[in-house]
Amino acid sequence: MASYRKTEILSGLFILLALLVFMLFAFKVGRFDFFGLASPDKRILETLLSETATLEPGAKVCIGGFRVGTVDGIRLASREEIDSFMEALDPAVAASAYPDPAAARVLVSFHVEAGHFRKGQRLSLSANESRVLLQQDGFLGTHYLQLDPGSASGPSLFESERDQPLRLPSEDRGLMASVMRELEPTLARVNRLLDKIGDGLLSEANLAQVEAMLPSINRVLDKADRGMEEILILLGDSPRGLRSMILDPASSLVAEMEGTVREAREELNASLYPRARTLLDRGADAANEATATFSRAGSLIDENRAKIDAILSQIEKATDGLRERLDRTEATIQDVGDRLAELLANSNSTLSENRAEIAEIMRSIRRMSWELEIFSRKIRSNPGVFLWGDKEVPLEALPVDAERSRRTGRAAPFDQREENRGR
Amino acid sequence: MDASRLVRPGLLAAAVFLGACGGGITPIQTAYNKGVYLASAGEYAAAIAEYREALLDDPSDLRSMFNLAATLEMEAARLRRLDRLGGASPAGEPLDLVSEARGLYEEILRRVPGHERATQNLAALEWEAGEAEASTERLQRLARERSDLPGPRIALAARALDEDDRAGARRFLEEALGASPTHPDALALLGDLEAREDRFEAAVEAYRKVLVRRPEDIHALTSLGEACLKAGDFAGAEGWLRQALFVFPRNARAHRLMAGLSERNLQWEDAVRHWWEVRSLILAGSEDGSLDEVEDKLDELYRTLLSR
Repeated sequence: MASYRKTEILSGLFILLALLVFMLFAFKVGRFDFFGLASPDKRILETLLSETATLEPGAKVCIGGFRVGTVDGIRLASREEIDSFMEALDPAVAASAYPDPAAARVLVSFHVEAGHFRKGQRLSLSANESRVLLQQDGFLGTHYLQLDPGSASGPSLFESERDQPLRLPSEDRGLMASVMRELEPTLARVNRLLDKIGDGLLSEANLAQVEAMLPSINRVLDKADRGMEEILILLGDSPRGLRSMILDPASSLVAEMEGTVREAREELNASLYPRARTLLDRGADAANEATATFSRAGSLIDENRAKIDAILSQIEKATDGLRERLDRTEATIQDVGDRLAELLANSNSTLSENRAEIAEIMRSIRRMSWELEIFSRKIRSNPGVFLWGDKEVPLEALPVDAERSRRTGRAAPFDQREENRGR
Repeated sequence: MDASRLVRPGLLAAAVFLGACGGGITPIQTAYNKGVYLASAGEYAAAIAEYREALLDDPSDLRSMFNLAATLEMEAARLRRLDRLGGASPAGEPLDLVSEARGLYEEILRRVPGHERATQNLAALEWEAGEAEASTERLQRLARERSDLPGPRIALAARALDEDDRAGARRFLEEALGASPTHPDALALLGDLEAREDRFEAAVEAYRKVLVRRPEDIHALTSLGEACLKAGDFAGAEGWLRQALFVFPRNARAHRLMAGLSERNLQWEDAVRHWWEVRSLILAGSEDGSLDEVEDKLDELYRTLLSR
């Protein structure tokens, strides 16, 4: 009987324990501070934030990274609550912490527990000195509240009145906020400077000057446009272009010449050569026969003189036509030759006018080719130049003042010469 | 394979590689070219040695012979300037150098009787030695025989200009330019003639033509600066003189002109700097001026600086 009762007692105790654990778990999930009931020593505080980011009820409240409390609730504040909050703060503190009171819309209530502090340790908070900061736990973590007691002094937080929640102003000490605080006066100065510059640069006088210049600029641009158009016309396919004026007529002249030559060759092949060949083949007999034929032809001609005259006049006309074509071709060739001669004459004068410059250019080219030859010889003799560099000092002659020698009628010494090219 | 058999060819290959890469095998510049470089740098004694070596290699090299003679004259002139300053030089050495130069010119003319440059320089030596008639006859004979050579005419023009025979100088220069329209010596002397007659635009044009052939002609650059200065174009003068000094910093005439410009612009420190350069050039024997004159000028400038 005793062992049976013992077993039941143990089972019951185990069930009670499990229920207790389950209850504690339920309280924890529901964020009900069960142990807070037995430890009433905590202080309720409130603050206004413009945004809460990932702050949630149950988030930690820390001082110096050490958890001292918990966020109880987050809700939007009404106009009256905001006004009441601001009235509870010192006006200077309210103006500094909340330059735009309308932006602070979220009321966050949280508490600080005395149990987190050791015996004898005191925490003093005041609305004038202390601040609430919204901090983020790491780069991707959730937000929490950080209390900055500042230089607050006075009674301990837990010894002060607890009728009303203690209202503390918030402060944004993030990187962007501090940068913006530093930048704001600078930006204001830059704005003032830009205004001054704008007034100076964009003054009536300056704008008038710019306006006066615009027509001139437009005229210049128009002229440039027209010039470009002329150039494009010259290079293009228009009737006034180089192609139409010179290249096409030239190519048609050449084609005509080719046609004339071909016709002349065909006429030669068709008429004279066969006759000559025939006469040669027949030899002397043919000549005799031809003589007889000619005598017969002579009589025929006499009989048919009128007809023959008509035929001859036709041949003469055809020959005249051919002669005319040859004359035209000869004239065309002469004209082209004259133009070419004119072109050559112009280029010759251009060359002679710039002989000195051309000579100087040639001298520079010769010098450059000598230096390249020296360099290539150096590389051939010592490929290590690429690795170790070249310690040889360049020995190109320096400029020399020739005034003294000129004024005494002396000739200058000879210059350096290309090596291994004979003297 | 036995590794020891690779040692000997490996050492040989390494020796060839190191020998090839450790330094040049074939010399790439001749004694003649080295001599020209050294003479242009003012190291006349070293240049003379190089030219002598070039003549040992090839006794028929007339260019080396001429340049040797010209460099001997330059060294002699430098030693004379040092003598005037009280510098130490062996007595009679300048005369020895000049006589050797004269002998070289005569040797060139024996081999090539119508050698233009040798004729010019020998005529100049004869003139300076007091043999005026022989000198003039030499130049005129070559000018008659060779109408295509501008050299003797240029020499006669220089002599006429020195004697202030401006018409004669102009005539000779026109003949020289007729033979060679872009000869820098003739154009430079023409510029000098025009500047002497205060025709600065014509002088500037002549000097500019010299620069077309020789962009770094120091005489032309400096004379352009002087012509602009006399014509009142001070900015242009400063530009030309700065260019001249950039090309040839040892240009005493340009330093004197720049000193004058600096004084005009009340830039006393720059003026002092330029006069110091002139002083250094005189002490080095590169300039013919008077050391006392330069030092007096420097004293005057120092007093001006102190009184500011």
